[in-house]
Amino acid sequence: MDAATVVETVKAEKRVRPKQRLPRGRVTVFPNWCKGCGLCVEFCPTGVLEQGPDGRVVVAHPEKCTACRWCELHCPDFAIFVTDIEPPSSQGGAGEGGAMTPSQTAKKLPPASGGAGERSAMTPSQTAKKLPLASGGPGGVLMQGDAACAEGAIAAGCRFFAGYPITPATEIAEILARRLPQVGGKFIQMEDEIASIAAIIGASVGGAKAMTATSGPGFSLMQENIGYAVMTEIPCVVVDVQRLGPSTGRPTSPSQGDVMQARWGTHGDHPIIVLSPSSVRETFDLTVQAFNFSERYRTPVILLMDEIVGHMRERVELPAPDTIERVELPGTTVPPEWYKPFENFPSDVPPLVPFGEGYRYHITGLHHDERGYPTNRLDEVQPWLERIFRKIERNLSDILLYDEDGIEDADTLVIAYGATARSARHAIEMARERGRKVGFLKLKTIWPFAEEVVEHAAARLHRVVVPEMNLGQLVLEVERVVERHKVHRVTRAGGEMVQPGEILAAIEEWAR
Amino acid sequence: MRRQQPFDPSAALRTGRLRAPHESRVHERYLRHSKKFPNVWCAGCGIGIVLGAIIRAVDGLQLDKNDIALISGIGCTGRMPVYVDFNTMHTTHGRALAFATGLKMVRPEMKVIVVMGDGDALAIGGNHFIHAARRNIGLTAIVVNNFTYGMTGGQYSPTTPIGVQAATAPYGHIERPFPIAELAVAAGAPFVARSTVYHVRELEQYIAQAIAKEGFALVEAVTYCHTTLGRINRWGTAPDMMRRLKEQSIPLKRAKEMSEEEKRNVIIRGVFVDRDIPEYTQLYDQIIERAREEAA
Repeated sequence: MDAATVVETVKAEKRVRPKQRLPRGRVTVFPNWCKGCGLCVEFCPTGVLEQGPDGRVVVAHPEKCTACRWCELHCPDFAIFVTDIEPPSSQGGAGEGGAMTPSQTAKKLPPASGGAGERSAMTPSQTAKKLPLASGGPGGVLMQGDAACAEGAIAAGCRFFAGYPITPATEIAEILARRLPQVGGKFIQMEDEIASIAAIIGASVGGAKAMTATSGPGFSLMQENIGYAVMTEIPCVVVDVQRLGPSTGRPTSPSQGDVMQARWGTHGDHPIIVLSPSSVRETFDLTVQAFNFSERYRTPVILLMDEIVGHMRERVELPAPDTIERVELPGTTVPPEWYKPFENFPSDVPPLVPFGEGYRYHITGLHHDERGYPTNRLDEVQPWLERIFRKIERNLSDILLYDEDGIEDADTLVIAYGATARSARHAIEMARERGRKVGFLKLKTIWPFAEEVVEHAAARLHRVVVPEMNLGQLVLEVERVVERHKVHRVTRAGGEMVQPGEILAAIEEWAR
Repeated sequence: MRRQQPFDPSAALRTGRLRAPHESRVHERYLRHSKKFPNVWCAGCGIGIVLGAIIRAVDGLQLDKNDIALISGIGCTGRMPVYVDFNTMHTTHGRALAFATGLKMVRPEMKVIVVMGDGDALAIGGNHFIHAARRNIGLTAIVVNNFTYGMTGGQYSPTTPIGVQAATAPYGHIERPFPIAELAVAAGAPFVARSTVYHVRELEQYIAQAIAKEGFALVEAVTYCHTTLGRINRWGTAPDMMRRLKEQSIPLKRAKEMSEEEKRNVIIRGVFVDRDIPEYTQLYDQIIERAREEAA
């Protein structure tokens, strides 16, 4: 087992080897792969090789080769190889090398067509067997937002979760640690949030729908690999149950302070999809939707919850599993040698085949060409960059989710999202009782920002009230598309919810 | 005469010996034909030699290319996977083991090989390194140790020896280095070995044993960087530094008879540990069984 035994066996082998005249090997050098490092020249025991005038290696004394293969084994550039010159009496040596090859290529052929790329590798039984229904039947079940997120993930087909404990998102991990193995999925608690998102990207490459969940501090750590998922177009879902920041902040207090981080947290220009639920049932639905978007557009999707929605309990009736739409990544029909995982045309979303299915390709966080190989060429980087933005921008009608209420005859508009939308709803009802004409726009998709929707809704109106549990983040976008003097901010960043009274006061103050 | 017996990979692993001498031109069957060559590394760099050893180990074990994933982090070693025709992934700095953990979890049948540099594996990725070893998930970790950050120009790394100069240690390095193999043993890895790029047949054999191992297996491949650390310390050319590896390394057996003081300046080669510990994905399969029973 140890090195000494190897030496012994090699020595024994040498003893039985018949004495053969030199040369025993034929040395070949690929001049355009050789960099002229001189390792082979320096260490060749018989001085077969020399460095030529340009530094590259030439076979100066081929007759001296003992076929020891030092040069072939140690060439860092694979630029040199030695073939045996067999003695005339030798038997069986020539055929043996060739016999190895066919078995390697024939062992596992890629699936014929259509099948490659289906992301059900982990759970072949899932297609036949119905998922256990999470809800308690008619009348619903009392459920927390975090639990709805976990159940939504399972209903969407999530079969891998990696996470790290953090308040107020820990419940998602705890529930999935119990639930995922029940449906044949896998859960792992990693050493930190960086590892958690790395693991889900790895799992997604392996063909499983994957998710992680965290809160502000962990979300900060994940930014690097969110960029990696954008760059490599690997679908995954990242849940951020927002708590009061910055830094450790106050773990059990709600906030909407990560809105801009969700958009711009990772470095470099990139598109992103961010969804934000405002109730327990909506958390379930948007978690499913997050998976569907991530598969349909091959992109990471962030589910931006907040501590209120995460820890709030509501009675919900969950949809029957067979009524839930589940999007799968499109498979490819081309043979492996034609497959380009980052092809820019004709589709904006090229098929992604999981590892291990016969389509061997390269994934890198470097800018890459259509095959996935690193590139410095602008004519290869530019079309890719355009495509990843195009795949989102061309599908805004699918991606932008929002609820409108009473905008047609209103003179004031309230725009809200997440838990704040609950306060806003309450405030609007109170204002309407007092005879005010208030319209409501609740954003479920907050990134990409629904520019045209907001612009259109606000065009006729005199004022726009934007309540947020931060010191003004999404309101910056509203101010960008609506005349600024119309926009009124209702902000709060002390770890408490925006109260309906505050929003009502803002509506009233402007009405006066 | 020497190639009469048909090659049996399982026997090769039992005896710790790969087919030798192997057939010629093995590498060509594994290098990507669609990729530009020569490779990106400096002339004489040992990383290409490690790649060759990986290729021959895979070939020796007669594994299917489709069943192998080669995953790397950032740095010179991070550029290794793109050249070989496996399922390859070049991830973020230090995180390769974490990506590989996710992949291995959902594809336990795959052989997932992770290649990292010393800075990649032990500085930025140190946490992932010890936890992957502790968890004993079935990954093959190959740490290419050149004692410095080569790609950024020779800054000191967690394995840089005391006293040498580095780009960020102009007055000499004062931190004690990590012994990678010993660290992995302490973290609980079931298989740990170390060799150098000079002893390439031994290296290739250790890599083969590591790939065949069920649990987390670490191979430290000691190499050199003659263009950064070597240049700063005037250690000479690539052949000069290759010779130092030959002269300064000793087998584990001999090291056991040496004092701590004597061992400080040598590279100890050998299999440090080879023990049986239940592998993580296999244990998790039992969890799935238990959970399904409970749910039913």
